[in-house]
Amino acid sequence: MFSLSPTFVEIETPEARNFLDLARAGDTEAFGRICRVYEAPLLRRAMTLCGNATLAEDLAQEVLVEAWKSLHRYNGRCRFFTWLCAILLNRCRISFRKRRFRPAFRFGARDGESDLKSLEQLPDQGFPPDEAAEWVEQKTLVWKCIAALPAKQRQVVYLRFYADDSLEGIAAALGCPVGTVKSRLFHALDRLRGMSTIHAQFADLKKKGGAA
Amino acid sequence: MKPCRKNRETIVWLASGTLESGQASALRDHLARCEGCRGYWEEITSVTRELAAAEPESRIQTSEIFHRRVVAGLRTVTSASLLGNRLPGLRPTFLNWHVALPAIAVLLVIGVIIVARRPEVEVAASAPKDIPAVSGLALDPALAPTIANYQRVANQSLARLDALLTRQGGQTLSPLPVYTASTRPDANGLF
Repeated sequence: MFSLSPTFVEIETPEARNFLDLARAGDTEAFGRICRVYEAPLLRRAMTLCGNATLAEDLAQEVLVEAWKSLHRYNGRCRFFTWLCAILLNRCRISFRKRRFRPAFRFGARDGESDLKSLEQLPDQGFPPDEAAEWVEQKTLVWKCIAALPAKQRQVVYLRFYADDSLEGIAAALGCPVGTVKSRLFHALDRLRGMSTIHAQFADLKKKGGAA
Repeated sequence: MKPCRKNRETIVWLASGTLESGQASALRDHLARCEGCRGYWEEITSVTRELAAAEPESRIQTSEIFHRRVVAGLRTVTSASLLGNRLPGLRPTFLNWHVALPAIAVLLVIGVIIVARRPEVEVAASAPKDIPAVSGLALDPALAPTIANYQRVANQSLARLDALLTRQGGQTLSPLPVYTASTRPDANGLF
């Protein structure tokens, strides 16, 4: 069963909440302190979405400035990081539409055409080279599957698994009922199940072809 | 073997950790008995496990320059919004199109009325002064009824042109000479 990642438990600290209250009262310095807490996780998620370090930095900065401008709209019904991720997804969608950059993962992209150069170039975590390559391949495949989902289902999967919020929090961040979020999550995971089955079969065929 | 249709959604929610505990225990009992549902649950669990494993890279960190750029962006936005706050009463009024559109329409109508009335005022003001001057124009041989003269007077004042035309209209002007090819003054020079 999927469990909440410990990465985000430490983000929502009482101190961060205190700064958030000050920022909502108009304190720029307090919001700057909040940015220090959230900017690295936000950059990681931006990096995963657009696959380019420079663009990811621009995107993360735009999200934080946008959050400051719209802080009055944050009602506290979802985690602050979920709200930031919802802005990030929205910004990303607008940028894709304006063709500022391509999505990092696309189906039909040939091997080696992936924009995820920076992730592939990261040093391995002590794995042997073949295992590290397999890990990267698997990760890339998962992100390609997520990218192939309809936008609304992709948002829900992203917020559930990479912002780690409850269904109620996701519903508040996206501004839709909880039932809608549950329905989207079901359809998304059911679709991903189909995709992973196809990919597993394809990988088996590839291995058999390679062995022959 | 296919899963039970009624349980598919709850299996997905169980696998994604969003099912309530009471429903979850009932579903687990069902999973122990139903092979189709168990197979579906295993597939969905495999998907959620892979999604969790594909979490963004935790080694990516932000630099101090990044933070400074964010803070600079925040300050820019704050200073821009401070300017907006200086006009607190006007801003919401002018953002309301129900108020702004009629106001713009009224201003346009007033502008059109002012522009339309302006020449009449000028004529009324200048006419008594100009008419005596114009009255002598017809006697001046330099102001013969030619287009060039009319243009010159019109450039000075439309009221003056009007007065001149009125004046000339009331006079019997000597007929203009009619030139033919044989009677043109310079005809001899050409042939």
